[in-house]
Amino acid sequence: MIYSEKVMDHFTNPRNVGEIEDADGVGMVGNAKCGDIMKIYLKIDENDIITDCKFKTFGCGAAIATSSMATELIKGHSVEEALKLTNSAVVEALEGLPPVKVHCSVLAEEAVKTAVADYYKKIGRPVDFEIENAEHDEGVED
Amino acid sequence: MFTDAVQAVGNVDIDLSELKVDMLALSGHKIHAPKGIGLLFIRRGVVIQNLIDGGGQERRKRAGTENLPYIVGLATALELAVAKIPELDKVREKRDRLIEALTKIPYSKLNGHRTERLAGNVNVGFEFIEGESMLLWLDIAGIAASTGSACSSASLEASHVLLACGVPHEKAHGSLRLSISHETTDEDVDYIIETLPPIIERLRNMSPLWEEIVKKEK
Repeated sequence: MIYSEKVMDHFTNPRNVGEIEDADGVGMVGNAKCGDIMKIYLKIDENDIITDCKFKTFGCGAAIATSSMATELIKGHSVEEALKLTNSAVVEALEGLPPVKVHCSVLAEEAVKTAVADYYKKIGRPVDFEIENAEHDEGVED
Repeated sequence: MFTDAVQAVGNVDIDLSELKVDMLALSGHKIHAPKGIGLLFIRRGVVIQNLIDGGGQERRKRAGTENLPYIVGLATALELAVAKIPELDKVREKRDRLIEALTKIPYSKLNGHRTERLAGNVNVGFEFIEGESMLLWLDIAGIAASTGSACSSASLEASHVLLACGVPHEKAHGSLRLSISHETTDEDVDYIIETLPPIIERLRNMSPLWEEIVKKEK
């Protein structure tokens, strides 16, 4: 697999790896059978700003790099802005992904939204957005 | 009967006057010949269709100018590989040393039989990590390996061989295949044994699956 320098940079030196013990929102997506699981932890202040963001990922180079980039793109921003994060913005920030790896960026977007949905549920706010499914099972037989 | 002998050549004695096959195929790159050359043995009397019509090369079966340098390369590689079959025990020693060391890593498992396997084949599965990320780190360290992981292949499918061996999908993803030969040195083996465990540890430490295992063990 040929990755861009930016992807290799985020793979070999991932930003924001880890856990947040008292996270305000946690989102885990993917499954082990397909080979990618992403878990994103959010710390959110009273103004809806993501003050801290960590991730843990089981997956390929692209899965690790997209998780790392997604956390970089939302850290310090409001949850509203985080919800606007698209998979193509992640791909663009990584200076491209091989076509077979684009689903990893969809998974990253999904992980962020799932974590925000978890936060909304915790504070009793209705989840008024949809989470696109990464269609991760494609090509894998049961 | 046709047999694909790509893995057998250089590993077991093949006597075509004894072996009851009509056709046998092998591939050069497995025995250090140039990539892109193979060989098809067709027993006298067996008739096959032409692959490429046109010229009279290769008894009209495959028209086009032969790649002579590659043919010479394959012939020499075959001679060398067959001559070295009696020395395979040295390769087996290195294979066994690798297997011993790699299966000491927690949550690892040898794929395939412990002794009934090719002299140069090591295939170990590591749980809670994904093969491609392991390969990328090995590649950075200068070690060329392969994995049964779906993510490293264009088709996004896990190795059908490992799946057929009963290895579940999630474990096939973390499998590592190392191929060694007469050219592999003891230092190469030491280097792999030194290099791999920290890579596994690093990847597991960032895996949410590993996190659950660590919490359970506490």
